[in-house]
Amino acid sequence: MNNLTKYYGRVRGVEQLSFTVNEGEIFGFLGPNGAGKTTAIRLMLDFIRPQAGNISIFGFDAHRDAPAIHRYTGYVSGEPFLYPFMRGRELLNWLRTFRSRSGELSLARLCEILQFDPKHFIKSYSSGNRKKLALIQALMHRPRLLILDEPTNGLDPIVKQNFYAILQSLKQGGTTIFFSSHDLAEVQKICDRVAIIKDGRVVAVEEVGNLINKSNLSVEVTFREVPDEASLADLKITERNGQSVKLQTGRSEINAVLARLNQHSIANITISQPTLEDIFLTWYR
Amino acid sequence: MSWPIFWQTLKSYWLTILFYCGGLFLYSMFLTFIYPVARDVGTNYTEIFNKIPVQIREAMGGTNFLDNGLSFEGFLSLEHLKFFWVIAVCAFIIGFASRAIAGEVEQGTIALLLSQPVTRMQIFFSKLAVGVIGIVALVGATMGGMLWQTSRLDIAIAPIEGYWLFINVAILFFISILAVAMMFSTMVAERGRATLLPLLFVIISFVIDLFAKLNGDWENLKWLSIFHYYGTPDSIITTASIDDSHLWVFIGIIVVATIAGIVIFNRRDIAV
Repeated sequence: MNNLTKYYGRVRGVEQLSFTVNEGEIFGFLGPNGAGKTTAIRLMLDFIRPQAGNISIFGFDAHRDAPAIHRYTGYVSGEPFLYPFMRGRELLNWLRTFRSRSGELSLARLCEILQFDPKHFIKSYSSGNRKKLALIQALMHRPRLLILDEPTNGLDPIVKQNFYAILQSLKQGGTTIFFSSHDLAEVQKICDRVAIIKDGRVVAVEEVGNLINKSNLSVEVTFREVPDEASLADLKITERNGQSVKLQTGRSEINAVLARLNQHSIANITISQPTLEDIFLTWYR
Repeated sequence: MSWPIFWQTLKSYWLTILFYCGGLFLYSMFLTFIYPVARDVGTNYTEIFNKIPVQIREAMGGTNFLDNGLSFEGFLSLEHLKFFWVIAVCAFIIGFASRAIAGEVEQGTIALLLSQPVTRMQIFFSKLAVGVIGIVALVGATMGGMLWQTSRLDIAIAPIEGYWLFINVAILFFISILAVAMMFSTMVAERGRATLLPLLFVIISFVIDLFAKLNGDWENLKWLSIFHYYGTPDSIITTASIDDSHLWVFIGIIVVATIAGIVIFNRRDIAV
């Protein structure tokens, strides 16, 4: 994506959005509601058109060559809308006819892994089962690019684990996965890199490990007696409760911070890596 | 055209088309069946209609039979082909077209279609093609019901060439309305609006035609109405002729509305 700008009238969708997703990686796309995640996905799929900028996928232009891109793309929307009066199997068999069937995954196997029974009418499915059906239709043709918008909403934990396993297997087969989610723990678990989007702009794009390593450490210390204010001045304290103090520090400053804390009698101390959620929240606080 | 979308649309509409065809077939047979009764009390029938102003009679679709006695074509034109039939087929067309694009957008299912390897133009034409098939089936069922019953009951009818011409005119007329309705369907995101706009087009067009016929000062307004070009069915059937320009107007409407529909559909944002 290159300098992509999209406004809905006066309402900002995304603004000068730029990032690159590498082939064969699982790329997390993080942001709260209204940050512009779905707008970016709609632009990728050519549902909407940008006022400025362009998107290139597999070397094709996302607008001009949309059908060529869609031939190799699987898509699951945040809230999948499917034809209520079709049966699950009927929908899947119909969608299979749009693409070449060589190399496609076994429908029976996908249904088994995701614990989905395709015999019933779509209108009778729960939201979780509709999500499973949407996932199967996106996965069944073994796409080169998989665009997932909140794909695990409504799935139970066992099916989620099975779904992650399918993603890992597709990734090993060379599929690129664009994974938009609110569930930061799952993004941390399965994504290679993440982009954090804020107010329609990307504020960080990093490998998950690097993002965590570059971030401040979290120090939680309990003193034997309440320390005076002046002795803790200049430290990045995030929470203070009597003898307990939570603070953050850069990795290069950890020794100096420990020396400062050691001037007091310490009852307990915990130093921890931040989670992706902690990092995400620092962008939004 | 995308065959998967075409077949799926046809599959989801075949029952509706069958229902309309069955209804029109039976109703046409019924009217043909009662025609001899109306003919045999022809004097009274003619007198009743002679009391109606000629402009209204024209607008209602029957003129020839009043001069020549109660012909089958005049009876059918007045009772069926000029008004009731147009309403019935337009109901199918508008219902179909409003679901074709706007209905998919409203329901959110358009996202499923747009994420497949097809162009928006293919989606549009696949849907349009099913609408055309529906129209041909409805016109065929109506005329088939009529002609089959006339042969069964030995009713004298005008030469078959006139019927063939009328079938072609009616198909072009209804495809024009379908193209306009499809164009409106690409413009909006709610099925309700996609129904209302072509409905207004048909009603306003009908009122303009009626108004132009009733008021000589406003006669030239008739050129603005699609019903003017449809003419009176009994006249087309009995004379087996129509001004070629009327056919060109239908073709023009079909081409312009289809191009406009495709351009609008291609350019618009679909935020689903």
